[in-house]
Amino acid sequence: MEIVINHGDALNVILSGRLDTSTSPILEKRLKEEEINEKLVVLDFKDIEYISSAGLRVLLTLKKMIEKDNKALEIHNINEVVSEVFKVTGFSNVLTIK
Amino acid sequence: MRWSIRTKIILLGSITSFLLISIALLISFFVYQNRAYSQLAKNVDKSVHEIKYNLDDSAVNFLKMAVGEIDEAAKITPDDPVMNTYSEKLDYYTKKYGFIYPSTGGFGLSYQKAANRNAYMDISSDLKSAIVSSGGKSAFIGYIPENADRIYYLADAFFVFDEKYDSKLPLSDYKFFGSYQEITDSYYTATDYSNDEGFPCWTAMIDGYKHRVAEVFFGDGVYETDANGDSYETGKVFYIFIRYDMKEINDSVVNYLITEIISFSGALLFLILLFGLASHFLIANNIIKLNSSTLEFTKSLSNKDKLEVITPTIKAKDEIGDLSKSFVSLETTLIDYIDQVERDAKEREKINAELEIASEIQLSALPTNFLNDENVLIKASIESAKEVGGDFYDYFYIDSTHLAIIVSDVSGKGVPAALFMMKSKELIRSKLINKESLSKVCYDVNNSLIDNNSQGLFITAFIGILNVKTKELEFVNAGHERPYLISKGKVTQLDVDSNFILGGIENYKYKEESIKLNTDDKLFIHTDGLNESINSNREEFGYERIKNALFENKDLQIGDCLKNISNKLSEFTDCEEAFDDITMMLVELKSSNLEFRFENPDYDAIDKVNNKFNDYYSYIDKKILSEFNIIFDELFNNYISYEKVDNLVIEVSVSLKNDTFELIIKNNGVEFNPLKRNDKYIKSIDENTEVGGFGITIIKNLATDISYKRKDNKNILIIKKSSKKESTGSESKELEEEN
Repeated sequence: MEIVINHGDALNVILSGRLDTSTSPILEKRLKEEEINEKLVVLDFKDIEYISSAGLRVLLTLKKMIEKDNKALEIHNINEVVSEVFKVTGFSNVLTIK
Repeated sequence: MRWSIRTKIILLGSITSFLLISIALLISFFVYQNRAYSQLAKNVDKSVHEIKYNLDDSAVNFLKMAVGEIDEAAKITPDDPVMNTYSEKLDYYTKKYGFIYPSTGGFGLSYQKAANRNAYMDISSDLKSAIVSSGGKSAFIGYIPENADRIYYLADAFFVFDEKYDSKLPLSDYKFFGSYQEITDSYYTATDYSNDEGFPCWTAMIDGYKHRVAEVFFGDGVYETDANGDSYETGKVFYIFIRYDMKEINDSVVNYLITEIISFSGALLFLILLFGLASHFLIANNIIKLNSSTLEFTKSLSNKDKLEVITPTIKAKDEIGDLSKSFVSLETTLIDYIDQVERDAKEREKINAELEIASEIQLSALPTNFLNDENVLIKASIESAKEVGGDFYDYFYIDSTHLAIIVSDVSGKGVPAALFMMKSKELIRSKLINKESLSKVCYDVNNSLIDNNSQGLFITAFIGILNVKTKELEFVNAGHERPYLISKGKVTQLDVDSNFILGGIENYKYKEESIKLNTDDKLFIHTDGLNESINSNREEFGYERIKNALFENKDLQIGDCLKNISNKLSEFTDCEEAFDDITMMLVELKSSNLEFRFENPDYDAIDKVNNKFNDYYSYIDKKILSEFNIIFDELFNNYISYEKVDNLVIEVSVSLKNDTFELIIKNNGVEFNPLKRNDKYIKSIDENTEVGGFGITIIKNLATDISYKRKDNKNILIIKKSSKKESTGSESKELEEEN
């Protein structure tokens, strides 16, 4: 899994690979360490192959962390597999997906 | 320092002309000098003659008397000491009697007589006039006694004629002459002015001065008879010496030359220059022309578009003219040659580009080098020795159960082989599609290849048809290399009937064979380029090395196996250029089930399962693979995190039948049926929302069907899922809300 972070109007986090048991902790750690000054955090899922429940867990944790600081989290460019996982777990209800 | 040929030739011309002119001048100098000398000698001889005839009787008597006295003085007396030479005696007596007085220039007894003194004056006067008339410097009369080594002085011109020279020569010096050296012997050269026969004259050096010497005889008028009876006149001989000075003559000659050189210096310079320039125009100029034009031509070679002959043809009928013609012809040839080379290069470029395209077309005519489906895994590689090759491989499903596999080698190389290869490949494919027996296919292909085959090309081929259901392989080996079978950890080269090549003998009957293969067996088919590859020692790679390489790599994925064999070959040949195409194909019969077993796995096991699964089913849609990856991730995560048994064993078995995957996953943990758990679904989020527990929900939704059973103390989960993308079957499922 690769993580590229770009600062700007929004914090743009570009992800690629799998977001699963082995990689999710890496993302969580990385974003917790990142100093976030932007009002908006965008996770770009363009190159994410799939997400498992371990990934969902990290998303939920991050969302809570970010919203606590009155910031917003958005997820962009999800593929079919990710979309389906979000749908069956109800994550599509609580995440801002674009 | 670099001297140009122009400088050298002008210099050489000038030096040569200078030397020639100098030699001419020297010769003229000597001729002139010689003439002057001989003129002088003549004058002197004439003067000597005059002296002789001008001497009157008293003068002659005086001289005779003086000579007599000298002879008398030289006579030996008993009282005298022993003296060996005449000169010694003479010196002795001269001192004893004192009749020679050098300080006064006169003679002892004779000279003291008045009459003799007058005679002496006359002689002096005669000598003086002789000096004047001859152009000499001084004159004297001397006597050389018999056996004497020096001249004795008798009379001289009595005064110094030329102050300039003779002041340095006191008269006393004439008394005894230290050295007398005769230079020329020219007797009787004096002109006969009267009836006289003339007398001997010669040139002599006396104390460094040139003298003309004349021998004069004055007879007594008394005749005697010698021992032979011949009569002779008695008398005295003495010599007239006239000194003459060469220096003056030489000076005049030199002056003459200098005047000549000065007055002609312009002309001389002009001559030298003329010679120099003539050399330049006749020789150097042409060489320079030749040189500069060839240099220019050499420079012009860098611009190959504008080549032309630059060297002019030099008309001179000499070596340089010939050389210029050679250069012109050389340049013409070179230009033509360069032109030809350029055209050839362009032509080659074009041909190479076309060959590259041909090679691409040829390779694109082959199926991809990788096939993966539920039945087989095929990996092929082809390395052409030339841009286009004669090898080919092919595989295709004739129908859903019959897979045709072909590896073939066309005789010959390059374009003809490539064209024949295309023809052969299409021919075999078209015959195989008709589902006729392999022996019939080969029979037809053979005859078709023989028809219209002017070049006599042929192919060797291994043609097989694999029934993917029964794993039975029917094949014909038409003069081809025998394939290898990797089965149950062993490698064997199949003992097959070789048959004859395709395109060789008309109506040849090909023998069809068959072999029953098993799951996990691998078949290695290659062309002779592999086993016949040689190293620098001309050793062939050979069958044994192929077998060993296959054995070493038998457990690897077939792609890696081929790569390793290829590396092994490169290592063996060590840069030796391949002279034949090398084709290799590995066919693996896939087992129906993909199975794993993990003891006490950690989370890394998830990636292992997923990677292997994705490789094995690489022909399945990526979305389906991703969904299986999620299922594995959830299940393994769950088991590893929550099953707390001492020795956790997870067993996985995947099979694909009729487009449906069946995944059976077992573990030896405590009894747990995940299906009993409610699905977890969130609608909103607050601080109390739990972040985990979505795994089972996801699995249930991704699977088409899922069931649980407990058997042999194992939790067994059976998941079915379509291998086709459209129906995951979970969409319509009603989802329960989380409590």
